Order: sequence, then structure tokens, then C-alpha cells
Amino acid sequence: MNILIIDQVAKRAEPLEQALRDLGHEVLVRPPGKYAIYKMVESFQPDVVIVDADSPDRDTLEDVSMTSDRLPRPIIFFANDEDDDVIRQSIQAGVSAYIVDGLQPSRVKTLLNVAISRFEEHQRLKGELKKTRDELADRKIIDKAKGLLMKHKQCDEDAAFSAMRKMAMNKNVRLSEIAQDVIDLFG
Amino acid sequence: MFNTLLATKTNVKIGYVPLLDCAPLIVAQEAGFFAEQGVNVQFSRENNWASIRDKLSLGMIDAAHLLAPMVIASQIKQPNNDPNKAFTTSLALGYNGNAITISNSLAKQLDLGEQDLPKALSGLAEFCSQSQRKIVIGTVHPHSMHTYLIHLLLHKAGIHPDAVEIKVLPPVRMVDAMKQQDVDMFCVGEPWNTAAQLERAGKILCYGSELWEFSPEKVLGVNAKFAKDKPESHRKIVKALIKACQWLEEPDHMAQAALWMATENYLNCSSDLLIQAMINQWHSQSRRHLKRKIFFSHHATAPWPAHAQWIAETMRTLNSSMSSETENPLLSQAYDWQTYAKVLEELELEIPEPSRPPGDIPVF
Repeated sequence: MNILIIDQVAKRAEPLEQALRDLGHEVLVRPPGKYAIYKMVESFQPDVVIVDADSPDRDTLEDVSMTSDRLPRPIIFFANDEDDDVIRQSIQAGVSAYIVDGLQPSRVKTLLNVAISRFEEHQRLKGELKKTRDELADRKIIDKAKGLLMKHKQCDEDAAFSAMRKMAMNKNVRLSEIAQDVIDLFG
Repeated sequence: MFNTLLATKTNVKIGYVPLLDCAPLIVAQEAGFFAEQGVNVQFSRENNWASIRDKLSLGMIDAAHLLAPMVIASQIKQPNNDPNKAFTTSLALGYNGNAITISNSLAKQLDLGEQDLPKALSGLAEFCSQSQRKIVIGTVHPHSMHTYLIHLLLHKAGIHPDAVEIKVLPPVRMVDAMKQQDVDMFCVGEPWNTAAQLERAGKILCYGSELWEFSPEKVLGVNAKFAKDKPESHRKIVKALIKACQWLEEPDHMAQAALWMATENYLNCSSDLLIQAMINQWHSQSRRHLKRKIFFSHHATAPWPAHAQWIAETMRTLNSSMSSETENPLLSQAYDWQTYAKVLEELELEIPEPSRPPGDIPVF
């Protein structure tokens, strides 16, 4: 099958492209920042278009699906009731698709599942990266607060740290929030 | 009192596209009209209409700021022919609000000055009949008043639709596309026409209200199953939004609305741009276009049956491929006047005669 991928996030499009190629499909990725969707659909004649559901280009695809001879239609118009879960899952993962009439539902499902897992994987990696960044930022705040406490309360590092930890436990908030309070107070 | 409020507290998810005319939703939230009705509204900001359509179909959101023709389209082309996935509306979110902007370079070729519209249109018609290339006109969605206003403009100018190319582009990209000469003209809502003028990419050729004095635009589309299963919650949000529309019509409230809307959570843009667009579209003092965006007066919140009829007929005319006997029962399902009338009664507001929308309805 000919599959066109439209995604603002290059890091997500690349592995998806590879995964679909590995399944034996022809894959074309729309370069980011290029608007030429009408031309690409005309020259590449995709059977399936996989698109980042948040992309502002979705509505152009809606038009293509109404005017192109090959009529790739949005997935929600395809699903049988039992497929609703796959559709729901794909929308939650932020992936949508346009599919030409007459494709076997099972083949469509496989493609969607590949796309969903790529999108979810990207989400997970992004989540992990954010967590690492947050932890690093927290650590900086806590170190700074510790230094301020040691200076203003003339105590050692361990005492400063356990004082903050105790406050965090008593107030049932995160340690970094207490640290921020300390910085606001003394910093 | 507090306990009964808590007991009846309802959660509703509402989707919107960050445009100037989603104002009633944001005002209802920020000014507390939803809260006053005991409704807890969670917003879902979407970057495109397709996404709103999908989520509304699957019930992932209950209601949405929606292009009026999309409600009709959902009744004609239901996903899986499941009536629960179709949309209905009991509330219009005002008349008008769009404009057609022409690129500075085309305006220069046509030698457009500060002249009246008929003169500009005859210049455009002449250009289309003589030019080697088709002019490209941007719209926001195939099922939109924007597309239909472009067709009304072409009709008025005597230009055959095949003589131009109408392409769908996201509003956020319209001004850039005009700068890169990918489009010669576009029909879009605000703040994009104002932005095109401020960035010297184009000038406003005409306001939508010059083509149709009181034209439908956005509505509050609701999932049909939500409307059926939760009629009270539905009426509560309609009530809150009518109050917000009334509030918005007061010119003194413009700055507050712009400040709320400009924030990161909503439109995430400069409040100056929004105020400029509001002055252009909402409170114009120009004699040429007195009636622009209207949120409340002239019964601007009414889901007029004649509007549903006009949209269905136009949709059929423009999409020859569309299999559709758009029967009247389907249209009255799509545009649910009864719920609207009931809300007006509860608010002690005058209920208009459903067969008499204001102004003339255009014909092709």
C-alpha cells in the first residue's frame, strides 16, 4: 500500500516510517513546514494517510477526502461498532487516518495499531524526558534552598535537608515545593 | 442551598477552536455563567475542525463550538449510520464574523482603491476571464459558511466557480500562505483578516455581512446522545451561553473579553490584536458595514430552521457526489428549536417566530 505520513514531529514520523516500510509498504513523509498536501495526494495516490490528529492540516485532508477521485475517508466513517475502541484509542494517542474505500478492515486495523504504538512510545519517551528534566530542576532548587538554610539557620547540610523533608512530610507536599518556599523567603 | 447545588452539579466537556468567535464559551466560563447554572465545564482546545468532529462523534466531548454546516453534514453523512454519532444544535453563536481578504499583489493588479464592492467585483470578474492562471481562494473547511460566502461572492461577481480554485487551509496558516503567494484571496474569521492587514499581506475586500446581512456562522453543536440522555445539562449550558452572548454585546465588555481570551489557556495571542479585530468586526462605526458580528440582538442565538434548510440545499448543490435526500425531519433534528424555545422561556426572554429570521436569505 501507499502510505502518506503527515506529522509535525519528525522524531515520531521517522520510526513510524521505518515500521511501515518493514511491513512492506511504500511510505512518503510530508516534510514539515511544507503545505503541498493537494499535490502530494495527487502524485503519490496514497491508500492511507496517517496524520497527527492535532495537525492544523487535518481540515485540508477533509477537503481532499471530498474532492479527490480516490476518496481517502476519515477513519471514524469506517469503523464498525466493534472497531470503535481502536478508533477511540487512536484518537486518544493523537493519531488519525484517512483511508480509501474498499480496504480490508483487518489491514487497516494493523496499520492503525502500528501507528498507535509509535505515537504512544513517543508520548512515553517525552514523558520520561520531562520527568528527568523536572527531577534535575528539583534537585537544583533543593540544593539552593539547602545552602540558604545552612547560611541563615547556621546548621549543617544534613540538618538543613532533614528540616525541609520534615516540613514537606507534615504539609504533605513535594520537597521541591518546600525548597521553593525557602528560596522565596531567604533568596 | 449549597447541598442542592452540589447534588445537581454536572460535568460537561466542551471543545473549541481558538478563534475570536468562541468568545461566548470563554466568557461563560470566566464570568461565571456556567458556574451559576451549576455546571462544571472542562474545555478541550482543538487545532482543527476534523478533530472536533471525531471527538464529538465518539462522545469524547459532549458539545463544541462548531461550524454550522458541520451539524447538517453530520445528519447527512453519519459515521456508520449511527444516529447517536450525529450532532444537533439548539443554539447559534451569533451572526456573521467572517471577511474576504484579497492579497495586496492581486489588489494592485486589479487596481483596487477605496471603491465600492460592485466595482471591485467587476474588476475581479474581468481578471478571471482574461488571466492565464486560476486565482486560488482559501477557505477553512469544505462544510463551512466561509466556503459558501466565497460562492456567494463569485455568484455576485458573475464568476463561474470552475474559474477559480478553492482550497482548504488552516486559519493559522492563511496569512503566511498569502505572503508566499499560495493564495490570492481567503475567507476566514477573526483575528486573521485583521492580522493580514496589520502584516500588510492583504486588505479586506468585503465583510460576510455584505453578502448576507444576518448569516449563520458557528453554533453550539452537541452530541445527539448527550442531547437525548442529558436534556437538563444541555439546557443549562445553552442558558449560560445565551447570557454570555448578551454580556458580549455590551461594548464596555470588549477589553475584559479580550484579556480573558488572549491568555495562554485560550487563544494565546496578543490582546491588542484581539481588541483590534473586535473593533473591526464587532463594533464598527463604518457606514458601509454596520452589521457585522452580532452575538445577541436580532435573535442571534436562534437556530433558525430556514438557515438549516439553506445550508442543506447549498451543500447538495456544491457537492454533486453527496448522496442525500435531506429530509425535513432530519433538519428539524439537526436544528432543535424546541430546546431553544424552552430555554428562552426559562430565561423569560421573548421567543421569536421560528419562520421569520431577520433579513433576506440569499439565493444563488
